[in-house]
Amino acid sequence: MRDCPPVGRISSTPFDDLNPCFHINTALGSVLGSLGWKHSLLGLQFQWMALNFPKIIGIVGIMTPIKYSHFIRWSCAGAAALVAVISLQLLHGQENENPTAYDGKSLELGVIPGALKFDVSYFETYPGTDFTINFNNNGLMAHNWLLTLPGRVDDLVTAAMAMDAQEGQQSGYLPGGFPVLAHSKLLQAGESQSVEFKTPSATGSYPYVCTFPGHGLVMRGILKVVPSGSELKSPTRTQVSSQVARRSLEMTDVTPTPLGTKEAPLVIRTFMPNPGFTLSDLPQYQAGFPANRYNPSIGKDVPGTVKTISGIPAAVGVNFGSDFSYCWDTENCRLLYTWTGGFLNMEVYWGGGAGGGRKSFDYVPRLIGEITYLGIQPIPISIGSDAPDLRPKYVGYRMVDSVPQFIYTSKGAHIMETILPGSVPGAFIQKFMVHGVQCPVTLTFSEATRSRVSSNHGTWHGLDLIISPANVSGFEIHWKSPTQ
Amino acid sequence: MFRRVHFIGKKYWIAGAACLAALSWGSIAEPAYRVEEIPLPPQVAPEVGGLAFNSKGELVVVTRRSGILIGSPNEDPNNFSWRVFANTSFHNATGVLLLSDDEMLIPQMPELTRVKDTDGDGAADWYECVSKAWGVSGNYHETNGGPVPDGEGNWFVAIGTASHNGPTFDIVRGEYSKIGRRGRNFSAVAYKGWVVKITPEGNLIPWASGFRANNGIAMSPEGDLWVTDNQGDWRGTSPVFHVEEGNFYGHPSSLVWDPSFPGEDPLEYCVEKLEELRTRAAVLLPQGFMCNSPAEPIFDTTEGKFGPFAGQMFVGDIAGQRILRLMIEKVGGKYQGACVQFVDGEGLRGGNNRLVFAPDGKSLYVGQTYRGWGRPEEGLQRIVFDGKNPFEMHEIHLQKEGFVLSFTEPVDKAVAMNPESYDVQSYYYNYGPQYGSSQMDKIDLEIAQIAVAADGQSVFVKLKGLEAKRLVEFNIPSMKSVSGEPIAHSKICYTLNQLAP
Repeated sequence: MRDCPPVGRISSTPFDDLNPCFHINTALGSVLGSLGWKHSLLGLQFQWMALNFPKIIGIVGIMTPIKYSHFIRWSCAGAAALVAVISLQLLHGQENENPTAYDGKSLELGVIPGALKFDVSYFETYPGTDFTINFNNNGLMAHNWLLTLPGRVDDLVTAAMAMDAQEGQQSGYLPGGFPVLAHSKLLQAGESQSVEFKTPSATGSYPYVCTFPGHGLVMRGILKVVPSGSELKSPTRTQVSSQVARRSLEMTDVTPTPLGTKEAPLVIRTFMPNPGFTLSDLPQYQAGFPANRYNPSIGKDVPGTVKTISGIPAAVGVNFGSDFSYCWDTENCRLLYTWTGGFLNMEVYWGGGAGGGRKSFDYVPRLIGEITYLGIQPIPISIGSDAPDLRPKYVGYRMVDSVPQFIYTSKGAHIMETILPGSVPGAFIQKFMVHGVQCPVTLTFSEATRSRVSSNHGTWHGLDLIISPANVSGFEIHWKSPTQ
Repeated sequence: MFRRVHFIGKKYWIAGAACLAALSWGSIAEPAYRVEEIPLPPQVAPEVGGLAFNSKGELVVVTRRSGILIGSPNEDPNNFSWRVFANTSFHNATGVLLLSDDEMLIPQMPELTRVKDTDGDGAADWYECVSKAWGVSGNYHETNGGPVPDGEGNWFVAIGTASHNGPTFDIVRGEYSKIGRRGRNFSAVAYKGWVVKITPEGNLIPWASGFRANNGIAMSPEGDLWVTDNQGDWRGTSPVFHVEEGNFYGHPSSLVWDPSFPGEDPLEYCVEKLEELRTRAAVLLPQGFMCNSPAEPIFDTTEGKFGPFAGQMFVGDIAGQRILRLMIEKVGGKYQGACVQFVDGEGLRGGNNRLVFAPDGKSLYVGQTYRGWGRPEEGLQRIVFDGKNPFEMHEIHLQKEGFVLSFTEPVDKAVAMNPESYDVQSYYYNYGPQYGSSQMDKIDLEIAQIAVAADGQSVFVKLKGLEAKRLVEFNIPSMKSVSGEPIAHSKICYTLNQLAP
């Protein structure tokens, strides 16, 4: 097994391209045997890969029937890798199955941390019972719980996996048009929810599943509705030894939604979301392009295109708590945008919960909240009578009283910029210090921005704010909130 | 002269016997090395990108998203005390170089950053961009390893390629090359797939090309630069390279940033041409049973405090619960040599990304991150030498018609003289655009003669049919020391680039 196909969401950040084969080689046999390999699962895996890896579709497009079978083998290998990885987790896990107390009307449901598995994978009820699932996501990743009709779980999972991240996050990976008898929302690691529902009136085996992409193939269980009056079997709960928890990120307090505070803002270097900047707005960057798909096994391009995605390559995110965040670009040396209501959801880049998978072609972190300043147009800073410098040079940032002060040079001037939250959400203050020059400094605003700002120094000439040489070493721009 | 005789099941019988021997021995012999778990504070995601010891003997731990921690080591691994040096989240920090106790260089996705405590309060307050002379395509896979001092004031940085398992951005930093964007692992922006030098002024000097996922770079005590790389396209199996200026190490995408290839598409070069251009790995690490994702190499500079392997190289495996040991020699003026497991399981996690020796030399710290094939394998462990000499192959030296194998303890001469104790095979790995390679043309090598030195410390094994540009794999599970201890790690793979002159 030389070429290892991607295994979807299980694959992750920087080193995931290194080498997965170990899992496959060592665990494949035992996994296939122990987990009861089924063709339906294989078929589903095939569909899932097809949906998630359009580039493979590109390859399939030119495949001969023989190669198509090869592709299925790849898919099989992908599924095997997925299952193998999980199996390895279980093998390390020293799991114990213990009977759990059960009244037939409610169930405490959790997950196996670090594995794609509910801790109760089978329980029984009577028809038409008012039932409560207390679902606690005690795992590492985001999970949900959906109860569906017999025979519909594969379609449901496939539909959920076809959702893009935004759609999925908004709906909690709850696809429309499918019979869902009960469901939780998408719970982040550490969250819990009680779900009340009436059990079906018809006896039968009703599957439940987590539809978060990549989980639904294996993270499943059965609610069996048995005839009233028959004896209810107590469900068994899988428990994992503490050694495993210690080995995982589970014991950490970290989440994919970090926050700073007003007193000690959090600085993150990461790919930052791009809420609408083009190359002409950010002239120190260059254009990227879509590329042909490529097949290494034939060493050639194949039909299909890999699209570019949107993101700021080298900016900084700073968060002061839920009321204020901003993005400052180290290439163009300027504030790009500010927002309120949260910071970044890093899940697509760092993985859900405390860690895990990157989202393969969609990993730029998501803004949480609302943009309150969008600086598509720069506010040029002119030193003396010179035209504004389009090629400022980033020097670094200094933490001054726990707040970052960005430093860059422009035409001999040393410019320091500190951004602080204002008195109300959405308002903020830009503090500038310009050193090394003995001339006035001019900031040129637009009509739209002029109405939002005031300054503690300088004189206004139309849209130009002119700071006299006496004050260039310390002046402030105060931005009102957009609703003020 | 002996002839190998094979019948079904013999190998298994030998292996079984070895297992039984190991089990029975295990009840009376303690292992020479033990693995200890070192918990990090719960506020920290223990995804380790860089490890170093400062002059005070404190351990510096650079994480992927929880900044930089500094810990005071303790004999009790549960009893480290930790402080935060940098409470920030770097963009995929994958290394660290201490300049002083208050100042360090951290390579991130977009820049090499100087992180410094300028006011002496124990926490960093200055994050200076030392260099951003490489491109950023937006692909998640572009890692920057190092920095490693070159001895002349500059720093080597190992810049990895991007992966086709992710896209690039519509705006990028630095010049974009459409032909560099082709391929499985690619080099759409400069200098992906290179080892470069960064000057103190932040300028970049391209140094050597042809790398893929070169997530490991180290300088030997002799001043040689070593880089590990990962199996994949143009990598039949994972290589360990001795890197010299101007050489090309086989992955072609990086060549778009080589001015001597103006306008050419390196992927359209025929394999034979690239084969001529490339410098081979000093040591190949067979995929699967040996190593799947080599990371940082480190040389044993403990002068025996960490056991009998002074001067040898250790390499962590990200995708396996193992650390390898390399036995390297110079043949015809070029490095080549062998690999063997050093720790294989034995309580070690996977994700073995970064290695550093404790100042007292008695333990090797291992920083782990998976980044992440499946279940997170993240954290910090250390391998402690308890002073007992392990029974291992110590060195392996190519001769004209065979090898001299030396051992850490005198061998049981009867076992060592028995040709059945040696299972020797030879094979090679394909070079080309395909992802990885099978073991090609695998053949058994016939043992022509065995001689054991009078002191029992070494064995000469004469082999028939040694050829250059192949690997020679020894399996010696029945080897035991004169005191009856079975060999701890019995599979040794020698990369025979050239025959002994």
